[in-house]
Amino acid sequence: MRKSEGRTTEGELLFSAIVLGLLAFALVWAAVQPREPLAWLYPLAVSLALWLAHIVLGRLELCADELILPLIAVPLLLSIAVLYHLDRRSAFWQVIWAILGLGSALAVVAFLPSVASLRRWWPLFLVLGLALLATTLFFGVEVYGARSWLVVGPVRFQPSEPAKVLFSLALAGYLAGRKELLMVRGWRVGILTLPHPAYFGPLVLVLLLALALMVGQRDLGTALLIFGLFACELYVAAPRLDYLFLGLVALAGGGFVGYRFFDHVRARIDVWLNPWAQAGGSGYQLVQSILAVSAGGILGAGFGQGQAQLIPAVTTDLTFAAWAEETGLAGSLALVALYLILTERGFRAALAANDDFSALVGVGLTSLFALQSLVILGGALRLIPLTGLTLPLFNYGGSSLVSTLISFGFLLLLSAEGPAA
Amino acid sequence: MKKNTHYLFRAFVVGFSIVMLMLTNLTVFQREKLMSTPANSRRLAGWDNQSLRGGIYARGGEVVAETKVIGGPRRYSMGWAWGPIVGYLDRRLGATGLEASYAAELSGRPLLWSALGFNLPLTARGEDLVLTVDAGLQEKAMRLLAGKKGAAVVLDPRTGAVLALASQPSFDPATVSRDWEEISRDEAAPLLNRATQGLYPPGSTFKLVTAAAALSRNPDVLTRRYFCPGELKLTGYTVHCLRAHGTLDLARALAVSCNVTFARLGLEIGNGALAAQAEQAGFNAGLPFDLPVAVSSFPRGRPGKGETAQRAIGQGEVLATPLELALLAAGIANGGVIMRPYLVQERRLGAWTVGKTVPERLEVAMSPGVAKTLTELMVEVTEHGTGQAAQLPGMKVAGKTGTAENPHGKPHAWYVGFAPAGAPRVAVAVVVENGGSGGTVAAPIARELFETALEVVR
Ligand SMILES: [Zn+2]
Repeated sequence: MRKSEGRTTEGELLFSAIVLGLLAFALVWAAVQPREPLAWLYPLAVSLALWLAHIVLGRLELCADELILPLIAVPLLLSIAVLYHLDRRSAFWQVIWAILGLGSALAVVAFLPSVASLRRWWPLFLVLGLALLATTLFFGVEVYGARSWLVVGPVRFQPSEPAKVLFSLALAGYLAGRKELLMVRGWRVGILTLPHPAYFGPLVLVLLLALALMVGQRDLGTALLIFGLFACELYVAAPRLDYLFLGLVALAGGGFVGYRFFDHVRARIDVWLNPWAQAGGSGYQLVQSILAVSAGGILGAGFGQGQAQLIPAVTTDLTFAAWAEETGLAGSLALVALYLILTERGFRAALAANDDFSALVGVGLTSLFALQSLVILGGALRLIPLTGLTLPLFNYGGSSLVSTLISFGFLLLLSAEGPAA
Repeated sequence: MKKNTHYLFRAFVVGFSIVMLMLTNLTVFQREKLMSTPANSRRLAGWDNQSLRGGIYARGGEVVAETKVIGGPRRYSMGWAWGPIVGYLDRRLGATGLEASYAAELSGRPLLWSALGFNLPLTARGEDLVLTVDAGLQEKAMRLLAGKKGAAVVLDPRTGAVLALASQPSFDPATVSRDWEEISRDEAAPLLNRATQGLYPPGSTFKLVTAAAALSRNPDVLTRRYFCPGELKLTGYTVHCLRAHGTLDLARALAVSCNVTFARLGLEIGNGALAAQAEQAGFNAGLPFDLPVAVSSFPRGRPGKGETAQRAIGQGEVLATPLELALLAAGIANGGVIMRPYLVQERRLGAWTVGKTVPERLEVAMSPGVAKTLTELMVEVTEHGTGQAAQLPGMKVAGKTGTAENPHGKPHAWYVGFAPAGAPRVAVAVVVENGGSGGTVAAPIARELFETALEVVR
């Protein structure tokens, strides 16, 4: 299992990523007035943390995937540069969270014997996840119309972010043992065969509970994401087309019910269908996002030259639009491609897993990452309704960043477990 | 389980690919459309922080708009007379007029450059625009319309160069930000450019189109005799003349603006022929111009007799902009060929000329023979008919008045024409909203414009 080269691929790629990140920061730093020399500590601190992570991974003598760390490093460092241009305070906090997240990810890799060892704890993860969601019901603070934040002193925290990771672990634990049972046929309804309620029921119940919490908190994006996560893991664990079909029906039904009975859902969908009619009002954010992306053209306005300040919630939701404006089609395609490659690395780790639980954890965490990226990218480009989610690794958001980095910690560990590649 | 993981990954590949296609669509294919939408005005106005915005100069080199330092304020030295042409530029309000339609050039981003996605200016300074508009004539046109609601367009029929484009009431680009509250509330709509965006029934000026259609299809209409009993009863509509004109020929019918005769001619050739002639002269189609232009319209379809007769005399659902009717006059003046109208003569970068407008054909509105006949008829209007107030000493003027009925009070006063009739150098269209009679209200304004404009273009 040991790699004698001492992770040279990772080292070389990470070095390139750091050079790229520092270069981007230099361009932004030069374009923004007043110039603060101390701001260089931001990208340097993150670079140092990334390099330390590289060294620690080498010391652990695992043959973990060497591409994951450099692939994470690129959006992480670029986000520091973009955020520094948009809002300096956000950039500072992003640095803190990045270091914390990298540390947590390393802790997962270093101290967890294997992903499979978590399997028997799945009910705990489920309870913890639900409890985290429930806290916001009692102590939550409303931000941008969603009551999904906890505020502790100067720190704002979104419990749904770690909850999503906990749910994907819990779901993997539940499904891993019941794979065959879920294939057992229950009631027949026409050409559809429903799964046996005894096995399928608890799953649906928990899912409904989570969705109810989300709809109650008006956090549409997370509700969509949990649904997607459920669908992805179930599809891999119990590959039956009628489950997939049922899932799509449920999604359409949920959308319809949301549209009919919840004003905030309806408002979002109306804006999505015709943002130009309300370009100065409720459609303003979406219209400005589309215009920013379009204004970038092929090569973009240049670092620090965009006008992303015109976009509301640009640091938390729509940093991608700012990136697209400043780097154009070239930069935005590169970033999207990078997310696709990261997704590929995640699935590769899942495929190499030795047991069902580990594989499902890999599929779940990777799907979560890819789905969240797609939901926010599609939202910013008006492919789907815009929801208040963050682009993992790129937007400002501490809880999201730490959760995402921890899930990549799991994926790193997973990639080291499989048969040596 | 492995197989399904592969399938799931493929689904994500499809998802990310769709995102990539949409990105390409927005940045490459929809860019031009999105960058010119009104919702984008803030982004557009802010484009000027990186280069020195180019100036705008009148035909004789007079400064219309200028920026002295990068990111500095825009100065409009003769602002009050130039609102309809240059529009305004304001960080908060956005941009209109030439400031908006030439945003790329003024800020130093030539079209090709910015279409490639290069948003940074190519040069540290934008291009200067030299206009075809004469400062003296523009001020005179604005002054002649002051206190009224109306518009005037003066152009050179040989090239399409616009010599003046006036619309009143208007605004001063220099103070638009300060006066915004008042301007945006004003019911007289000072921000509306009536010359290019105002749609009015053309009234009797449209008889030129009817006459052109009839002459092209049936040249003997010129030598025929007509009889006007003072009114023509049709199903659903009765055409009236001010008095019974009796027996008359086509020249006389145009000179006294006999509604009955032109209604009959219209019925004879039919709605289709009228629409075809109107479309040849630029109706029912977007007009390529340096400012946004409303589409002048003549309805197609198979209307009843009353409607066709109404349309033949420029009433009913026929609507035209002053610019369109100026082009109609210019087309007749130029042997039937309408030249594409333009405001910007030249684009300069420092001492270099980077772009020069070459006059080009827009439409062939009618044959040279029909244009020549119409010119002779229009001279009759000035010499012995309703357009006598536009007479010039020692020069033949071709014109046509219009008094367009409308649901908003007194009729709109129209005059379209050109001079000198033998070798036309100037074509005009004047409209005064609810001004009354075209011959007494619009024609004298046109005469003043002819006088000054003929000094400008030799
Ligand atoms: Zn008559």
